[in-house]
Amino acid sequence: MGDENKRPTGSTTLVAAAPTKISSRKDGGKDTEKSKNVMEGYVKMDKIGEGTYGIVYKAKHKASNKIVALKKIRLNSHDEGVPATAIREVSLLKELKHENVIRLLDIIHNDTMLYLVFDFLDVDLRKYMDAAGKEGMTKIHIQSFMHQLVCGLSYCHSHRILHRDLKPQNLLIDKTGKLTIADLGLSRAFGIPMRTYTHEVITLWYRSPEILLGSKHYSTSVDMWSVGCIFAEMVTLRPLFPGDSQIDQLFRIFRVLGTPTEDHWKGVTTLPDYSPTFPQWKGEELTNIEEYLGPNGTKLWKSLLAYDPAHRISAKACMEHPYFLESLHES
Amino acid sequence: MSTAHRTSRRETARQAAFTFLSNIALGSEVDRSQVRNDLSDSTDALSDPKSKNFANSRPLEANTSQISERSGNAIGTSFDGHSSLNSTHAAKRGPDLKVDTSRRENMDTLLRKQSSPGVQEDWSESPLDLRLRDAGQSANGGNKSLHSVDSSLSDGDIDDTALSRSGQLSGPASAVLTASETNATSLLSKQLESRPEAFINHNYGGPYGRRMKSDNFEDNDGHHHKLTREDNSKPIASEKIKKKHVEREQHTGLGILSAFRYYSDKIRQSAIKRRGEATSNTGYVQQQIANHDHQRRRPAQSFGHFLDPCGSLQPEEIVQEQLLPSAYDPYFLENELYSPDRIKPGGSSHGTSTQLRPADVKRELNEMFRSEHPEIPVEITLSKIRAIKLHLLEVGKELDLEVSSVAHAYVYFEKLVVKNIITKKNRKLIAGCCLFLAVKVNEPKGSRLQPLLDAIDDELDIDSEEILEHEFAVFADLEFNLYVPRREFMPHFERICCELELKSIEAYLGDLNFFAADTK
Repeated sequence: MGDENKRPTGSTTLVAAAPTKISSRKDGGKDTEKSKNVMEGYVKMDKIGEGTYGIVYKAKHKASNKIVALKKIRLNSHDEGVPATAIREVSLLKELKHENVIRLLDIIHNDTMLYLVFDFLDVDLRKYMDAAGKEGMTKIHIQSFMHQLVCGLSYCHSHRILHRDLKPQNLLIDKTGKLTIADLGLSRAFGIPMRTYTHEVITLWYRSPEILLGSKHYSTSVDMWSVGCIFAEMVTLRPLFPGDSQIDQLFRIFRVLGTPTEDHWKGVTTLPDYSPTFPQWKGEELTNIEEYLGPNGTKLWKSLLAYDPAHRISAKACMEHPYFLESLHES
Repeated sequence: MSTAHRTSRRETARQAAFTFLSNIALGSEVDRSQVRNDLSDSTDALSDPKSKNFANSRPLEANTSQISERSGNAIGTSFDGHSSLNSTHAAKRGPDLKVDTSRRENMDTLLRKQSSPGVQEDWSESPLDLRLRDAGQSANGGNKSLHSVDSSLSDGDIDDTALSRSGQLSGPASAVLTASETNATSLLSKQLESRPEAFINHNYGGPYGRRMKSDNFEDNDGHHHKLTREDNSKPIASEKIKKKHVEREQHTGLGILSAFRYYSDKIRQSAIKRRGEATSNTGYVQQQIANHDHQRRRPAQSFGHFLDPCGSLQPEEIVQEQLLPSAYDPYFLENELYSPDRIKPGGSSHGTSTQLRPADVKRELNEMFRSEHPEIPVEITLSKIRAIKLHLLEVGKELDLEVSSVAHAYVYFEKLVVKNIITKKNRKLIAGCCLFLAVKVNEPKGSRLQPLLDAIDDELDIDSEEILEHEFAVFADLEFNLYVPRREFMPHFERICCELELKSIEAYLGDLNFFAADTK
């Protein structure tokens, strides 16, 4: 709540836009000029990256000296108006206030441009793993990152939000080791009666088997599958199922976990894209991961990758998993 | 502390205060002893210092928003913070109330120090016009924060003023104040409920000691200001405030930060006449439409003040639990009361006919709606609202949109009607934007938007350029709340299903198991 005051609300609102003396005096009189353009309150520093709908800059908010991430969305180049991803992200993030979920600090708009102002975090989990290697990803790191991820996700799910694009690139890490869930552009609220949900969600490697098999509906368990993939990836530093097509993705999963049958997944054979001609794999033990995680870690990991979405562990249940109670030691 | 206990206290306080203020309002003699007794009763009940803040908080928050809503409607401006006010209150209840209380205590001291001759003068000028001074503000000197609780502060003022005037301020100051605040707020809302013609003007002045006079109001040329978020850590989002532009009175030295008016029917009549102008400039989208010609490039604006959570995505039980009386009601503008079946034939003009002509039914319904909703501009009739909705549904049918997307568009549109942002002139444009936004947040991704824009053009005669230009302003006027609680959109969803003559929602959705699991 404290940083509410620090929120870089530019002084330009409708009041400031109105040609009255009162409004400018309200700004304290000193930065009336600046208030003409809120964006001048920020100093752009570096380009951090290019998102699906715009460029992301690192910037400093002059008034508070706070480093922020500016997502710049050009409006006139879109023939469909404000990108739906931006509209979803704003509508969802404004309702979320949790230390493990990115905060939307401000939203600035003029005719041609929309800027979303976010907390700035140093690096994403993918880059972190690449840079820090094994030493930066000890058992203790993994446990901490997993716990924060599950806490943030449980908060989202309790707010009727499906993230639908969990992957290391969308998990941000700061210098203190805090993990933040970001990029809710593909997210949506659930609990709305729909005939179907879109299947173009979640980066292929982290996509759950029910989506791959064309289930009309899916729920919070799709995010939990992604968490399971990320869990393994933190151990090996490599993606668990790096498929290059839908079918390759499915078969990679089947090879490791075994081809699903009605026994472990009731109703799987009725899913639209299920085929009885799928090769029958028995599955294999990923001993390296299991040894590294220990018995409790392995148990959690397996319940995250349960085939049947109804049996996949929920974020809330995860938080109480014995794995997080273990005190792990370097070895 | 049990809820029942709290409620009973509130009831006591409310009754006492109600009697008290209705007497004032009617200009009659106050039965002081009666009021004193009532007040001290409630004071005793609330004097336990530990329970003070908490006991105070519930009625305060509920009533504050009621009042703001009423006043917003009455002066033809919009009040749109219903639900957001609610949740932030819940989230920040503790600290805010502390601030409140301390400020009120200030006020109390000041009121007593300054005595109240000035106040009495004002009262004698016009017995129907309650003039209040936010003494706490002037005591704090440069306190610039136009706290959203100011609306409740000014309510509290009434009682403070009244109390000091009748010389009843005795005993532990804070305790008395606590009681009186509770009284004032609950009573005002009660009075508003019982007297729908009441016209209340909240006036938030700047920290420059502006003074409002009742006669000034008549030639008020209506400068509209948004209460901006930087003044305010709480979201009574775009609550528009009418500000008086009286520069020459800036040096009177009196820190009147909030004035509170209570107008008789006569004054209200003139206010209604002026509502046309008053509403003409509310809302981002209206500003944008108004400015369109002469100000092509608008400066960048910050909308950070809408980013406080309003709790619309909390679990449904919590949404229900924290529901304020002022929250959006999906049955407010559309309910079985306005069903054509209820209009019985038997008018005076043609007594023999057993069947009413459709035009008569329409007129009857519109009149009924009008009398139920005096706060909605005359130009927006029930039949216009329904026609717009039917247009949106037509678009939905043509493009095979999700019923829930159309239902969301209805919610957005109705919210903007209630906020008095919709006018006869802009209704199609805004309705188009509502549907456009609903599709963007709710349809499965990958749906193409161009066909939608074309369909809106065909159905509403609004071309895509206009939609794209005003989309963001409508988004902002909805305070970025596009994911609304189930209680808000499900009634519309069900009505649309009836309209479409779908056999059942289950049949429409196919797999209800999934949906049921979703909503648990």
